[in-house]
Amino acid sequence: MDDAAERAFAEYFRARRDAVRRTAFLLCGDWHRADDHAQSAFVALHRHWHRIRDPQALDAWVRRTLVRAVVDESRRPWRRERPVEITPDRAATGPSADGVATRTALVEALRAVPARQRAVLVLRYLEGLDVTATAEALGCSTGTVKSQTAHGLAALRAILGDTLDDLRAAG
Amino acid sequence: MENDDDRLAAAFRAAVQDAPEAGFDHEDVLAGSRRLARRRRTLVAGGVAAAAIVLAGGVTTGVVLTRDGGTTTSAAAPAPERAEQAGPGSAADAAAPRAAAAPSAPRSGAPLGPAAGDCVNPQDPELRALVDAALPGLAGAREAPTTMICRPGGGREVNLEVTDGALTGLLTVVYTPAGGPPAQTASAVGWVTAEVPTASGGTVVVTSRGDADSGGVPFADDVRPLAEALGPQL
Repeated sequence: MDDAAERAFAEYFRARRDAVRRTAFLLCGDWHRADDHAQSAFVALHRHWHRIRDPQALDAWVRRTLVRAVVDESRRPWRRERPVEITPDRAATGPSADGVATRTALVEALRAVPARQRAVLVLRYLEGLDVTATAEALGCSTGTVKSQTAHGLAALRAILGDTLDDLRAAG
Repeated sequence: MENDDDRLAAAFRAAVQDAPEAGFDHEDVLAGSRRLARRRRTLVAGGVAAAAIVLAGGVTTGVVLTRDGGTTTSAAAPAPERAEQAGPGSAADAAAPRAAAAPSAPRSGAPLGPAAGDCVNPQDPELRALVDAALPGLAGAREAPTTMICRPGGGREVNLEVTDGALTGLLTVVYTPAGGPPAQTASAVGWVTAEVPTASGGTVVVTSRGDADSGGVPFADDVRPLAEALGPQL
């Protein structure tokens, strides 16, 4: 890349690194893996920088790369995820629980949601994407996004019980 | 007034507010990018060498087996060669050693050259083997749908649906023998194309174009190296 492109990439990296890390964290539930995924997404972006025709599409490009990597990883045999039947430990997550415990409960619960549904929830509620943008990021139809959102929220509710309502109330 | 979605969104944001310090910085990203670029260049160079060895080995095996028995057809021999051998007891037996040196059969150090047959195969298996060896990232790529229009002239083609990270698209490799009609040379904005003369006097054109929603052209940096790697083999 020429100097101007390198500067533009560096600026984009500074502006977006933390946001991408946060999305990666909620997608995979672990900060170390989140850093690995986020770094890989930025490396891929750097290699493809001059080929992305629309600068406005950078966020979408990174988002799609990140989601695909996390979802693909969740399918690999050595790290295949399975929805859990057992509710994660919520000992400190009642209506009176402090914020940290409540946030932890949400992260733990998300990890138990199937990867595609989790991706839909993260894109919609953390990234604030609408149904259409979420569908584009995941390469699926808007109908699929709607159904995955419903299934994902139902899975969260099944895991968190009343805590989900606490989250909504306290959010 | 906040609705449930707003509150849930706030809860998601709160869940990531205590992020630890990042485990990588800009320099790490640049180093990773350079490392990938080096690895890809090495794979292209190594792939071509491997393809040459495989082709040379396959032809050598075919020659040895036919010389030993005169009636044995080696699975390692190229398909056009097998097609020219009519089987045991036929007149082709005597011609078997000559068949191993047929124009369409690649020889050690010799280019693959034109294909046999009246129509160009849009998914030529011998060219595909060279492409996969030259750029291993394409080895699992699916064959793209193609038209069944007969294009005469002994050319070879490979048309692949490819994925390169988040980028998706169509990658085509078209070999045109010496004196043949020119291969596709038109290019649209967003396409990456490279044309290279081949060792047999023809041309090879490698083109990659992104899907409408791809956001970029897959394997764009590999198009030129792939064409240059294939040129001496064709």
